[in-house]
Amino acid sequence: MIFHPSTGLCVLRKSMFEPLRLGRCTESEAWNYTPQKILSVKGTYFCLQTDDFAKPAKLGIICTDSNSKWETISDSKMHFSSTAANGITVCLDVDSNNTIVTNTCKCLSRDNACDPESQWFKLVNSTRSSTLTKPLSQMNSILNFPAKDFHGSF
Amino acid sequence: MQKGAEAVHSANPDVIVILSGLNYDKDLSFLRNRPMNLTFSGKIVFEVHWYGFTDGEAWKNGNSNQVCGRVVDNMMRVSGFLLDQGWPLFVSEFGVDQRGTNVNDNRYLGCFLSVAADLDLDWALWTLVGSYYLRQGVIGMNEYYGVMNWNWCEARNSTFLQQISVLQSPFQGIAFVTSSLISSLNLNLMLMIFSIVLYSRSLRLSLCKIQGQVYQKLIHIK
Repeated sequence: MIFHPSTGLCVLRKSMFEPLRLGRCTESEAWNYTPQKILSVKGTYFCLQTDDFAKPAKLGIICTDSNSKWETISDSKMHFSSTAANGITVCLDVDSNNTIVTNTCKCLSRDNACDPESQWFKLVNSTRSSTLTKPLSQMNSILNFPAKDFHGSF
Repeated sequence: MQKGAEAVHSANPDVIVILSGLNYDKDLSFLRNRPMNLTFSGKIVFEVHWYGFTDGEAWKNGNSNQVCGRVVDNMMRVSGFLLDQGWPLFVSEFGVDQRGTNVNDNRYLGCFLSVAADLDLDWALWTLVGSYYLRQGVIGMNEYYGVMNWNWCEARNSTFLQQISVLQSPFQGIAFVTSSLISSLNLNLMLMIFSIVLYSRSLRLSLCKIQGQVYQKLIHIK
């Protein structure tokens, strides 16, 4: 899971149509971090990508470009840095709505008045049973709810 | 240290023996080249304490990225290396001023939590107690590092509880399917009780309407 220490939350995908957000780690899916520095949702072709500066990070399936490669930088090794299509280096960040975005990397100089923590993320190995990876067609599907009700009522 | 461990073991062979470090339980590096040699095995646990002030005011005075990198490297060198040698190690004290006004503590916390998650550390928080009947000559002394507020009726800082909640069950291993005494949660619970008994002596919990399972369990056990 991708843990965000300053909130105690994790990176979640609610659906393909909403941006990634922070939420309860118990709802987190598993992520893979490959030797090629690609962060993908385990069991899927979706990888994390930077879209553009200060915009939400997105999931894509063409994972070979520089905007899909995430280096862990700074002495804390908790900044995940990528290169946007326009060549600008950005870091994974969280906005005030807990949406996962990319921004200028913070506090990489010796500035001691600077707070980098919104950009701190930690990949945590886990054997917790994660939310089962959902096929796209089922995500947020209203069709799931009658099925649950059916089970619940018997 | 070995003599002490043997003494505890001979007094009660059924207890876990917890071994502490030097310098306010920060430093276990003396074990690196002189491993423990004991007549028993399988129940030695090392403990380490790790606060913001363990490194003085480094957090307040430095750049958080640099201080985090340096402090974690140092922690791995003086205590964390025991994990690589196959020993159990847990953080038997950590915590922050829960008023949220201590910059040194605030900056330390995110770094600590990332390491605790990464290494899947067991831990005990300093502390649950909100205040003391008597401490250092002060009646009703506030415990600003306490989860409870002064009158023990509610949490001092709900954001902090949210932050640590992810660490309240283990990330890895078989502890999920076992209820053995050493499962992470029980160890935390045991240590919280330990902390209350030792440092508070003032269980005023019954005065408050207690909410939440952990507190209910504590009262039940008491």
